[in-house]
Amino acid sequence: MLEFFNDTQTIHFIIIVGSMSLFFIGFYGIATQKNLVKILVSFDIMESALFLFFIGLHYKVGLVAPILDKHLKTFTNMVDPVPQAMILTTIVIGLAVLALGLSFGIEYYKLTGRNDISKMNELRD
Amino acid sequence: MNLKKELRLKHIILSLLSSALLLSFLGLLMQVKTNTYKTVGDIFLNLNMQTATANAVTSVVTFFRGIDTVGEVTVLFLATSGVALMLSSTQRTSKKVVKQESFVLHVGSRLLMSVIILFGVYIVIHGHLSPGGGFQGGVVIATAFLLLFLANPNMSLSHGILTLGESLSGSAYVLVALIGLFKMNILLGNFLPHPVGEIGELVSGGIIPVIYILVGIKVGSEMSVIVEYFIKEDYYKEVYDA
Repeated sequence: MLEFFNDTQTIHFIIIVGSMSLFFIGFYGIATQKNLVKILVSFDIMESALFLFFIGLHYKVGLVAPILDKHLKTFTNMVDPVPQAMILTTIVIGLAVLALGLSFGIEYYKLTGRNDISKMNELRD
Repeated sequence: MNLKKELRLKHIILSLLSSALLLSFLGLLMQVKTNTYKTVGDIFLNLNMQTATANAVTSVVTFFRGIDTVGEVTVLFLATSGVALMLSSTQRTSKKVVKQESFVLHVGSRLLMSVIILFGVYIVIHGHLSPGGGFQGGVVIATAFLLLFLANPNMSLSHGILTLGESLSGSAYVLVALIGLFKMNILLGNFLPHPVGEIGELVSGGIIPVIYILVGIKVGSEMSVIVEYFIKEDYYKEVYDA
């Protein structure tokens, strides 16, 4: 029954549908929420969807992780290490951006007592 | 009542818009075929035996694309500075009186903390042999401090030690890169001996484990500072609920 999943096209189909659904859940959050913190968290959900998408799409059935051990002595039949390294970089940058954005949001709330983006009008005058 | 109805209508319209965009994206992405062309990753995999590192992802992160990692660590440092600047400026003046932690919580959190730090150090040191590395292990070390803060909110970290470790490891990383430039004529050149026969052993790969240990110290201290600033913040509940 599970041989159905032993196919690269099927796995890519599942990964594309799942990660893009997650991406648009985050998009829906950005479009509907007015709380600054919730918008930032929605951005993070969209980011996670992109991580899943990139990591998932470079996998092909039959390839193993690019790490040697007792039984694997050469770097053949392995997945591409570059997307994994780039996503590692992206995760750290995303975390830094989220922490900085949340601290800006908290600081804005401390200064004005509001965090509703539809009532942000400090720059109007 | 009228306002509520309007809001609900807007939500329905926006969710329909999200679904329509999702379907159009899926239509585009489903046409992608799995190709068998050569990528830059294949070249890195062929060259990877020369670095004597068992983990190809680690050698890409710290050696082939090492200059990117220098920039990444700089971005993390800048973000930590920004968080510290933002959240330490206006502390609430009236200190809350927090109840003293119980004996079980005190002993249990410290026991668990030592185990978590040991696990994080293991992940950092074996970064060139197994999945993991400086970034992952550093974050695991920071979760140990998160546990301490959850058990006792009155605790505070010694910022002098954290700043010292963070800045020393950051400068040592740049120093290693510059020594590589002077000895091997490329930035981040692998100037330590790295015989290919020793692949898979703990001391192998030349400067790659050294760089990942430095990154582990830096990320661990920066993440601990971020955790401390956010958990000491009294406003986070209000900001979320308002």
